[in-house]
Amino acid sequence: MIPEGADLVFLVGLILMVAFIGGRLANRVRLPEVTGYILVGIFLKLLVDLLGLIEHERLELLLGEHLGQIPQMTLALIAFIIGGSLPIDQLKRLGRGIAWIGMMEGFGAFVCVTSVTFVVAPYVWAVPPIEGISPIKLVFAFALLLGALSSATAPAATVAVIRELRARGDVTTTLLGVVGFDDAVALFIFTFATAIASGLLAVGAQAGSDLYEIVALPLIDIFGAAVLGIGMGFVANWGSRFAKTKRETTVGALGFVLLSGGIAIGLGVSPLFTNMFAGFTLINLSPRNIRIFRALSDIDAPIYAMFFTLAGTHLEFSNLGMLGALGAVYIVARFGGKLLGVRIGARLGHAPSTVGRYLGFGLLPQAGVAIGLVLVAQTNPSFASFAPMLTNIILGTVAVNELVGPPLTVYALRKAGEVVGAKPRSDSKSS
Amino acid sequence: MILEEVELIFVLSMLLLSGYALGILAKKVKLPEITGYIGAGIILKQAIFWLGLMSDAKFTKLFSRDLVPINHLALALIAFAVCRGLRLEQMKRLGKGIICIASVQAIVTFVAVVIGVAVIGAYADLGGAPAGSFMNVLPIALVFGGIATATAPAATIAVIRELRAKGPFTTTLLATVAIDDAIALLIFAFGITMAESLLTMGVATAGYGAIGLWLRPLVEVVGSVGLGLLVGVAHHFVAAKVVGKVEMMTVSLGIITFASGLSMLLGLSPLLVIMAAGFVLANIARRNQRIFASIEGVQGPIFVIFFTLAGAQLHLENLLTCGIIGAVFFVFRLLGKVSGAYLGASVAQVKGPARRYLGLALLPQAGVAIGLMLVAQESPHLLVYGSVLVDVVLASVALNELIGPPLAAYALKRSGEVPISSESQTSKTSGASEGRDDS
Repeated sequence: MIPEGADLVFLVGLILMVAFIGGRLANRVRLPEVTGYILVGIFLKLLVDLLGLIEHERLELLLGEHLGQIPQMTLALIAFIIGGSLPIDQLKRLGRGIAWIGMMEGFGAFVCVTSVTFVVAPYVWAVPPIEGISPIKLVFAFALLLGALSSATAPAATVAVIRELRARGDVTTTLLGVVGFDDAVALFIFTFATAIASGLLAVGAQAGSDLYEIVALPLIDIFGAAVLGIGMGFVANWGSRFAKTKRETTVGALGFVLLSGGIAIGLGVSPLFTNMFAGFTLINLSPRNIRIFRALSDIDAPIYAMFFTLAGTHLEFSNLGMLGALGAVYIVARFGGKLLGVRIGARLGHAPSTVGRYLGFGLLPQAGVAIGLVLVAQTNPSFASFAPMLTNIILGTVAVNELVGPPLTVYALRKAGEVVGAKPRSDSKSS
Repeated sequence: MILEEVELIFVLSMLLLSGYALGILAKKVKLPEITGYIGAGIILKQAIFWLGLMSDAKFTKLFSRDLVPINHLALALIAFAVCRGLRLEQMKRLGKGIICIASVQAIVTFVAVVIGVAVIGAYADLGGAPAGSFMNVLPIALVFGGIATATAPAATIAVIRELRAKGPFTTTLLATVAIDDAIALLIFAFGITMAESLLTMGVATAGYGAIGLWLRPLVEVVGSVGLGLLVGVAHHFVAAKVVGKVEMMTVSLGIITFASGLSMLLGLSPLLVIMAAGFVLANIARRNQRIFASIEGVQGPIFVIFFTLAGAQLHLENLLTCGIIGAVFFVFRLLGKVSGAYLGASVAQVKGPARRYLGLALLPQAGVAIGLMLVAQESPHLLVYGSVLVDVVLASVALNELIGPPLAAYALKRSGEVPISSESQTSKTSGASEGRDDS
């Protein structure tokens, strides 16, 4: 007699173990751990089938249904931590430059990737048609979502490079601020893009009031999330006062993040924004609340390992050629958009010219937020026809961006003359 | 009603938050945290039904099916966590005593409950079941006796952890609850075989069943310990290559979970496997303490979910319906555990607090008891007794889960193995963790 759920426990253990191995192997060849997790994720199903202890149909059920909630929960956690990394006084100190650059590079990538994809995609890949929806609308929705996903960056790799080089200077400081800030921008753009894309793809009766759906709904979504998140932040601020030990803090924080996410979904507002605002409210109500975020970041490693490995299971090997073409378009357009956005943002925020010139090179890495968002998009039934392609593009390009990103960051920081011990460039300090 | 897509997230968050709140409250009134969690679960269940948030079927699906894997995970982590303090030298010194205490307390409990139920049951109304004479009641009494020996390791271990108790009494207690599962299984197998052969008097099939029932626990124990030793050694070598704490957490959690799942798929006891592995790790090298330290952070939320969930699954209504047999079962089990531990300790010539207080710490009952009850239910011969078995066992689990942890805490405190700092709780631990927070 095998106890109920034994196979799920087995599977979770297996996932964590292969994730560890994948992370290790990736480190050995100087790839980021995330890439290793995704790579072993691709082979996970094969491995389980080989072990033969779980039947294939059962495995699909376990992955899809029982572990299907993990991305949603992880992303709620990530959003909460993003909000918690934005204390107002720090933002003020770092100045307008960061706000402008963060916004413009996010929107730059969004606009660039969306428009380029919209133009190029029809020549490369035929989006599976949906009855009653014009192909143009479909491609546009696809381009919008891809653009929104492109605005996210992953600070981890960038921060690691900066630490390793002990870089110091305008570009470094601004870069650190921007990578923290632009995830908020990415969430914002994604929420908007999702709402617009769903509005475009609504069929029949729902499609009646296009303008209302496209403009008002996302606003309600975000505004409602802000109100709910701020309210929840106050509740959590009160509730966390009773936590005396770190353990209690962890328990309370985890329960709170899930509750905010659950309420938000129940009310039909963005769970990501709700949690981001809750985190933002908490950190700004009292600096002591940093312990809440510390408690969470102490335990999130296995959650992320599972999350990325599970993400890897979604990668499909069909139509690799098209994936390659679209992926290349995505990477180039995103890079261009980021570079351009940084220049504009630096000008608007009166940042030093080295910042405008070099900062964009540090923004290539992409991982957790983008993957989480694409997995969320995948659960939306309106996007069913192109969601697998979106997932493939994001997962496929994460490896490339994480690979190319760090060396480019090194290059930019050296060029800007902010690496201690590097030969100072003649123009870097004076400009 | 709760939206389908968020019900799991919502339930998880409620389990965590209600456990958080009542855990803190319990500490305020000097009860073990886990009593707070269990209480939270009871309240949560009532609240869900009063507010009409879920249908009965949905509640069962979520709480008894979808969340069950978390139970396995928690049990594995709990079993693993306590091994940190299990030292080979101490085990060697206490070894014979422990085995003696564990077996004697189980046998005495079995005998006490069998006699109690059979004698009093002969005069009581068994609810339509064949009552009236000693011989008629004896079979079910034998089954009850077998189930009565089972204890719930998780609750006891959680109390030990919370109080940071350390010493020979604690070690004896830990080892007793660890092997009690296997002993309970053996005695239960004996009891139910006897019961069936009494009921089918003269039918030859009973003999075969007996061998099967006796062999299984044996294979289970040997196989589990063997697999556990293997896992422990493997874990030791893997951990030697891990430097970072974060990485250590991921891989340790992975190995523990994997071993637990694998042992269940192979029909072994996850508890024994994990404890054997943890025991190896704790004794093979000092640096393995890093493994135990690395997973401490994740244990918190998982334990809270586990015990709150357990509280939500208690059947308090059975306390009213279990009748006189329920009371007899409870009282004779209590007497059996306390006097059995006393007797076992005397036989093994163990002096000190272990003799008097050990039995009190052995009361909690949960998963194993329910599992044995389900096995007994599958026996067609026992059907004649109706629902009395289910009623009594569920009532006993409810009552013992509620009063067991505080009694275990009391026993530990009286043994003198609870450090002063954790008796007044919070003060020291919070100071320490707060200090870490600020650094």
